[in-house]
Amino acid sequence: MKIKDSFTDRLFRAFCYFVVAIIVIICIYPLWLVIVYSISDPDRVNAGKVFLLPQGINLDGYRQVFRHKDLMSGYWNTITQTLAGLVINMGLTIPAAYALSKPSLNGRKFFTTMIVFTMYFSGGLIPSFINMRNLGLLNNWWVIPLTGAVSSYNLIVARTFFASGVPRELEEAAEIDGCGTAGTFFRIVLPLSKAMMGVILLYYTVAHWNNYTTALYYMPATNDYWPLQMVIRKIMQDVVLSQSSDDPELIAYYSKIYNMIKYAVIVVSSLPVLILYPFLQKYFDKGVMLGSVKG
Amino acid sequence: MKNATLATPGGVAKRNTYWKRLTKNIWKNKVLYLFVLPALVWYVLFHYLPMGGLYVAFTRYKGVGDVFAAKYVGLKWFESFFKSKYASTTIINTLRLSLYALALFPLPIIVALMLNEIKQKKVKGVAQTIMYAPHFVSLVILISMIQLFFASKGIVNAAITALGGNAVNFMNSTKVYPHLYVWSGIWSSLGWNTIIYTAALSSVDPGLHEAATLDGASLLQRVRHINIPTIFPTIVITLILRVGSIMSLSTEKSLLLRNDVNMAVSETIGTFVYNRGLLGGDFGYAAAVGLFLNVVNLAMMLTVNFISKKVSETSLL
Repeated sequence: MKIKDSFTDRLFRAFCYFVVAIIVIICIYPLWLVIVYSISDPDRVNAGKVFLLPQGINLDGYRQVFRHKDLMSGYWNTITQTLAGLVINMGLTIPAAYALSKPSLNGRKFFTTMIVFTMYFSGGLIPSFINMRNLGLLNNWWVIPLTGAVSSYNLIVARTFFASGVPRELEEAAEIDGCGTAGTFFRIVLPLSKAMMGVILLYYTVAHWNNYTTALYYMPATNDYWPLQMVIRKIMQDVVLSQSSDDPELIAYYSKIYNMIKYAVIVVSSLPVLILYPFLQKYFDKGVMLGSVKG
Repeated sequence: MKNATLATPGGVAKRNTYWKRLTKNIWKNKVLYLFVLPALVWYVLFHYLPMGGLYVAFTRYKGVGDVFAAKYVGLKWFESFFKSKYASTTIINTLRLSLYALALFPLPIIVALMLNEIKQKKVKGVAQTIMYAPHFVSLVILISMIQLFFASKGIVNAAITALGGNAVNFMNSTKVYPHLYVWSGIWSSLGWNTIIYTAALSSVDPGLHEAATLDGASLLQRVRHINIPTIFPTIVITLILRVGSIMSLSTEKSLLLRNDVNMAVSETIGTFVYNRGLLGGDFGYAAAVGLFLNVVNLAMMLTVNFISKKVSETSLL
């Protein structure tokens, strides 16, 4: 039996739809504007005439972006540093999480506490900086993939999953059939953990791609290794792009398309995330559910 | 296990069997130990070595040579920080921003409750996909967008003047700064933060709603008396986490958003440490300020966790 909603109920529901619609617009509008501004005629954008649709298509911004050497090198650095970082991330996090989920591991409580403690206390910026210098990682390409090598949060999520998400009987059966610990882990447990690893891979990838602070703190002097976000920041702060010229016409041209270049930079740097986004979406809710299980 | 029952009561024998059992356990589980070892080494190198390096906070170290060779000055830096005007300004600036953000803590809860009333799965899915998107915009891009849109000739001012108002110098205003800081955070995290509540709402028993409807409860009443109590434990845990991390504001974001003009309100404890330490070379002093901040954070977390354990038996640690 279905009771018809009363008038006030329908009014309340309509209100919910309305508010959600407003929030959706607020979320998407700035992102949409960035894309529109990156391809619109800069004169009209600078005059504050473009609010919704692109006007007078102009791709000069993108031409400048792809000619910008620092930006392309930043792009390349971020791609390689992210890939190296992900190999280290998964190689350290997943096996450790599996081991820590096993009651037969002596001292696992101690190890877990040691790991969780770092979520609530750290040496802080200055001791970390000195430590990086002592390890020879200052201004070193490897400082980017190595600093975020393990996220305690991800490790606890993975450990919780291994402790409760993989049927123990399967592991026991595999061991009876002569699979060692490593064999069981690689052939039985990992194939069952694809969704969890997808979530963690997603978190690590986004963290690497958007990472800015590591380079800011520990790479003050080596522009050649700077990741994308650091280069973007530099571009946003510079008054005029690297092309210095005495030709007033050229200067006028650059100051005109200057903001346009910035918008194009934003689009180009966010492209991989935008392309991957729809494919990864199904993992989001799952990931938060995994994380909400108490560690 | 067998060894344990056979162990003779007596110190030496006991200790011997303990070591025997331990080595036997390690040998038997050698693969597991190999699995966990690299991560532990990493934690020691990148987390526990810097904690030992906190010694720098008690020295006159200026960035050159060995920390442990520098002159020991005791609590000097802590004293001079608290005697300086920086202590109050940075602490107040930090608290202003985090308390402001904390006051807006109910927003994602309200949005999640409203999202829950959208019954068409497809519509809801599209809305969620769009609302999560800002979460993936990097901080550098987020701040760049603010600086472009809120520039003196940006779109916001264009809209204001088009509507007959006067242009506002957003980026150089100490009054606007907290709003920009907090609301940009809301923009990027509002949708993402609804996920945890949406997940909790999925466990609401539809039978309860049916029964309440039959009894004549309105939708608003059902949300208040069924949905909200269901997600209440989740609300409490999230709130605890937020209160516990009240002093740990994103240094990164402050560094990106501040400029010379808004310094009076944008200088937080974190940016102060960065300025004085990494840029100014005052390693000991900056490390002391950083240590103060981290101790406060830890104490807050432990206190809040302790209280919640007493009150609700839900704790985080």
